[in-house]
Amino acid sequence: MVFSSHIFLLYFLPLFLLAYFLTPAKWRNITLLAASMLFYAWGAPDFILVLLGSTVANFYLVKAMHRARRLRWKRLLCGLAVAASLGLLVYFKYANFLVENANALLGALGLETMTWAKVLLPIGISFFTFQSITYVIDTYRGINEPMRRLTDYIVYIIMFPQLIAGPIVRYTDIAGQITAERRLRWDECLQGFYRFVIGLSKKVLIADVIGRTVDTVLAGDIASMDCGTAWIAITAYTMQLYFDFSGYSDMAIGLGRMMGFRFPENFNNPYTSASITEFWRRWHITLGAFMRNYLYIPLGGNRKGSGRTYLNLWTVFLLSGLWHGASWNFVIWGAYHGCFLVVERLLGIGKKHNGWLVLPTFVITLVGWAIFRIEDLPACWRFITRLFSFDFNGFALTQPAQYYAAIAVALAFSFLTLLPWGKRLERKAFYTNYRPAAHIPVWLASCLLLFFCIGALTATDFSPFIYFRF
Amino acid sequence: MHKVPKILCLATMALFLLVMLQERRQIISMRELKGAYTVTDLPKPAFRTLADGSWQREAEKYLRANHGFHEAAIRLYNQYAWSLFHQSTNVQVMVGGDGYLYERYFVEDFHESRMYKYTESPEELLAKFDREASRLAKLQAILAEAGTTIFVAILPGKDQIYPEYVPRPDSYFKGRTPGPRAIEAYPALFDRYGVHYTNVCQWFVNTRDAVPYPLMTKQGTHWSNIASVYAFDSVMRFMQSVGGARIPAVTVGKPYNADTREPDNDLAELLNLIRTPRGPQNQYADVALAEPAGDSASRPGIIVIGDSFFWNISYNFPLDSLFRYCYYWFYNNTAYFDPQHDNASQYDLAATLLDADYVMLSYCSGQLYDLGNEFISQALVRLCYDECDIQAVRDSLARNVDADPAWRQQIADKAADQGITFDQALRTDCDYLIFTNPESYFPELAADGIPARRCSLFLKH
Repeated sequence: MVFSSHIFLLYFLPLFLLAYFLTPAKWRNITLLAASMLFYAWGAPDFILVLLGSTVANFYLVKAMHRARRLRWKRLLCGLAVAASLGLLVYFKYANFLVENANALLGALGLETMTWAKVLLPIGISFFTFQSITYVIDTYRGINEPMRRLTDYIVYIIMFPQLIAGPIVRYTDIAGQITAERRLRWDECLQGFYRFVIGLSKKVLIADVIGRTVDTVLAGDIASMDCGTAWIAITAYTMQLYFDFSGYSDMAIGLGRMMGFRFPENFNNPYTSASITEFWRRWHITLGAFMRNYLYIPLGGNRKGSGRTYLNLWTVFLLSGLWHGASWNFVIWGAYHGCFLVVERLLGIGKKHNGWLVLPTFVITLVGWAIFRIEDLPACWRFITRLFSFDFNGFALTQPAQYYAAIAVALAFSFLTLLPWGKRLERKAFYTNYRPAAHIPVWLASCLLLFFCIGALTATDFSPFIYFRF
Repeated sequence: MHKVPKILCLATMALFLLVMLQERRQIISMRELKGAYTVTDLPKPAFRTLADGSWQREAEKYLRANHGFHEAAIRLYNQYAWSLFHQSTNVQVMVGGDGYLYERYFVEDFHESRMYKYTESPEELLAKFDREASRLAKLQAILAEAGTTIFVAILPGKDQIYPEYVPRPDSYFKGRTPGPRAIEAYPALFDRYGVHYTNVCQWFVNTRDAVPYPLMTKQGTHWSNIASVYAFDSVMRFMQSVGGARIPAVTVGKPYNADTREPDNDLAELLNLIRTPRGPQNQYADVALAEPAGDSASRPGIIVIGDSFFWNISYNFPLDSLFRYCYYWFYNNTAYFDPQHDNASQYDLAATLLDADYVMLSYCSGQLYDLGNEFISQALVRLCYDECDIQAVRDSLARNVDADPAWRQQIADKAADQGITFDQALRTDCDYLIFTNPESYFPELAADGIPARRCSLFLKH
């Protein structure tokens, strides 16, 4: 099930909220747990047992780890729990990739290749395994106590707002919210509703509109694409990715707020960054925090000299790239960003925000997204050469007007907070609790926007004929 | 005031419940959406379909099409896309220059991409055209023996008449290699095989700028009402020149302007907006008999097999007075203007053809790829062979099915899906094979020249 589907918007969410609000406070986690299991099983009935099994196993491993008196046992159980989560991720997400590459190597050496039945990827595995790892390691480090109730732990891992696409929530960030009886507040619920609708609009009215056309453009003949079309296409994809991902995060945060949770922010106007270093403080913030806390710092961070710092940075981004997808282009994308981070460290860029560097940073990011998007490496290289060909022969605005309009609106919103009034507007829209009277127009606008989004979801799939033809 | 958030939260829940109630009970009547679309039912859940996720997918499809107030939601979004961007969300309706609306298949035909609906191979498509033209020539000769005249009326396609407004290919197509076009291939084939045809499409192309009225409307997919009047008047003269059976003369009144009528704005309606855009007024002309209709027995009987362009003719001409009967077999499927039959398959095809004076295959340029919709091969088989001959072929095919477990299972699965018996599914499959490729089962039809064999009804006629 996805948030931008009719089943979720018109049935699952309202019925869940009704049940949730009617449930006594001490049983709300059970209601949330049942709904989350239904949410996951709806789209992936095959994998619900994998998800539950790994979650239950993790809970008891962490409990045993916490009870162990000797450091050696603690370390062993911690390692086992982390290995179990990572093992699950490696098997489901990377096994096909590893076998494909092994077979390519075996084939090149003239050896017999392996036969392998492709493994299907359980939805959300990249997120819930990382979330499990944060719990294991934070408990090991003594940052938090392990949870007493299994049901509370399962709720923490699989609660549906952030199960599929994050944010990656550290247990310490919401410990009190899970185990304590959450007091529901009507104004918080409304604020959550507004945030949810904003996220849905970003996805449906901007990201999906752009995506429908940019997929066609990028599936076309890249070799003969003119420079203008290439730049518009990659800018479009940049906007699509941001509005899709941040829209989803907004929906997750909004849903959490409706239930009494405060999830961490995941995006902070990343395209206004003046360096790649700053970009990664603003883009997928919770992933960046995970990589810093559980990979970069354990590798030594910046405490082992410059050379080791640069290597650590680059390694973290290489692995971060791989986390995004099981394909070489993701690894190259990660390495690409890692290189710029190292260069910025060397040149001292990124310590202060320099407005002149916003555009160059944006261009570097755009090129990076080209590597991210085009999995076929020769095609990716061809596309990048077209970007810098300065060949505008044949350039024309031939795509639907709505596509260009959506790109323009997306660009405007992406850079709005460079202006002081833009920042104020953002604060008002996202972070201000409205006075009671102010809720009325905002609520009306949100309901209309929600209805409009549902219309977009329905209309784009409705193409009747004049007559039935046989 | 502090109760406002609580009230608004409860109001939000109430709205969601209202939407659910609307989906189940239709408590508020909504303006129906225009167009032909399949209405899906909410499937019954079963353990197997829940476990493999197929029920969930079907349930989502159902909800997408049937959720409460979906009519209003669709119209609202469509109006936004149209008003701000002049865009259609309906992939069947494409917006061209100067607000001209085109049905998708005309645009595909114009950009030489229609082939891909049928095959990836240009040679295969050209072979199909040749096969149909050759069969039609044989059918024409056989029917002529019985005094029945068959001919083709190639009707205009909007892309042919207004090519300058056709939407560009870059927006909608992946730049496929151009394929052969029926509107170019068939006239040459008809000339080669001596098939009777009238190319109304070419006539419209030649006279487009010389006439004071639009031949096709801006917001409709068909020829304009007035164009259909002048065209059919000429088609009737052509009919009589090749057939001989006399049709009462008609007079066409002076053209007059009037607000657009059905189906002159059918594409605009298909946009499903809140307010359908008003197109320019169109011209109409009234048709009347120029002479008394006389006894119906003296008038010819006509069978029309074709696409929806014939509807304009039926609205404007007094068909009951011009013909003894006029059967209209819409894509050789649904039957109109005959209270005794509602489907072409219900007719005794041989008897009906032998009784008719004219058979008109009426297809616009974009639909010509499906010329006859298998009518031609069905007619050839029925006129040359008796039911017992066809049954013998069915029996032979049934024996092949029995000997092939995979094929047998396929038919059993089809029967289960369609809720029919195995024998019914088997017969449908056999008839499909026989009538789409009759030459494989009746070698005489494959030979050059007119087949000598006739069914017993034909011999008695």
